[in-house]
Amino acid sequence: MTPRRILFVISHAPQRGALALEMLDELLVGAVFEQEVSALFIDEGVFQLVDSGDTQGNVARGYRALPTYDVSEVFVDADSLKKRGLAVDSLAIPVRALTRGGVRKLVAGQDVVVPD
Amino acid sequence: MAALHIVNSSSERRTALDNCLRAASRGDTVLLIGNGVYWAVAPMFAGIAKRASDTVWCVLATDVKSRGIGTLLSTQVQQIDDGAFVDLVASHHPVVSWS
Amino acid sequence: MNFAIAIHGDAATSESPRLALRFARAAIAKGHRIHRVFFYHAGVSVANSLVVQPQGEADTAAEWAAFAKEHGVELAVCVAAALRRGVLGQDDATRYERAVANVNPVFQIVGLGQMIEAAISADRFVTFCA
Repeated sequence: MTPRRILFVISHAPQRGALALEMLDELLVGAVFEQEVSALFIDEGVFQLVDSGDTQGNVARGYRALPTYDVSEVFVDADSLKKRGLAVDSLAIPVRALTRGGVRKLVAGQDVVVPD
Repeated sequence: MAALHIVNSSSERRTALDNCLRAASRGDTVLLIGNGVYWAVAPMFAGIAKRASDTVWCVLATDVKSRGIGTLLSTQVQQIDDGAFVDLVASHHPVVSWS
Repeated sequence: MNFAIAIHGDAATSESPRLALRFARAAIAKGHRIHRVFFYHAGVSVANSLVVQPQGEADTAAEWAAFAKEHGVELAVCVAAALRRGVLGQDDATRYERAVANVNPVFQIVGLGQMIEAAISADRFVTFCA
């Protein structure tokens, strides 16, 4: 079977009880299924990649594990970053910023899209 | 194949619709369900119609009826039943829900 | 076609389980199959058999259970999300020394792998957000 393209879309701020960690769990489990897994951080979801330095409930620390998993690529919506005064190199992990056209193309090319 | 986007929240969480519009491609269909149907009320829809002109818009008729807003809907939005929702899912790919 | 469904909201604070049930009924009526219904995040509360619905209010959880039995549809609840929300099977109640087990036996208690498996096996994966 050809691998399915699965995109996890993270669009909420990190501190909503367990919801952010539960999304990260989904992504990490998705990554072990040998599919083409990627993630898109959009809107306030970009704050999930801001590392507060705290050791408790800091989902950005969890996302630091992503490069060691089989995740094809991590994307962020460039406008969402810009609107919040964030830059790609201030985030916890290496990401690729996408323009609006890039976001459209990314979503259109998926088999499965998982929202947070 | 064109994508189906599903929005189930109203202006209470307007970023769900904003993100949907950001990611939808020309020719995609946006289906409003649950409280998402409030976006289809004519003046609300007029506020997003310009950004949404290259996509097809549908609402679930059951959710419109249960909210008593049938007479308020924009004529640019098509009311469909639950069976037609299933048909939309079958005829589009991928299916993308916005939270 | 073969569908997989994910439900992210609970019946007390979200329409998500109800919307998903309507979709599932319509899908079966049209001759489609449902590979699995996966309850995640707050959606796991639909499996909590201790919930009591006041008379005259729709009991979405009971309707899901009846629908699953009638059509042989698998209802799966994520174990980690369920534990966080006090939805426990007998094994978990024993292991964590809790007074009651409260998962409706119609629901399978599974890991997240079952969600991914459903998403990649089905022709379509539809999420009903909270």
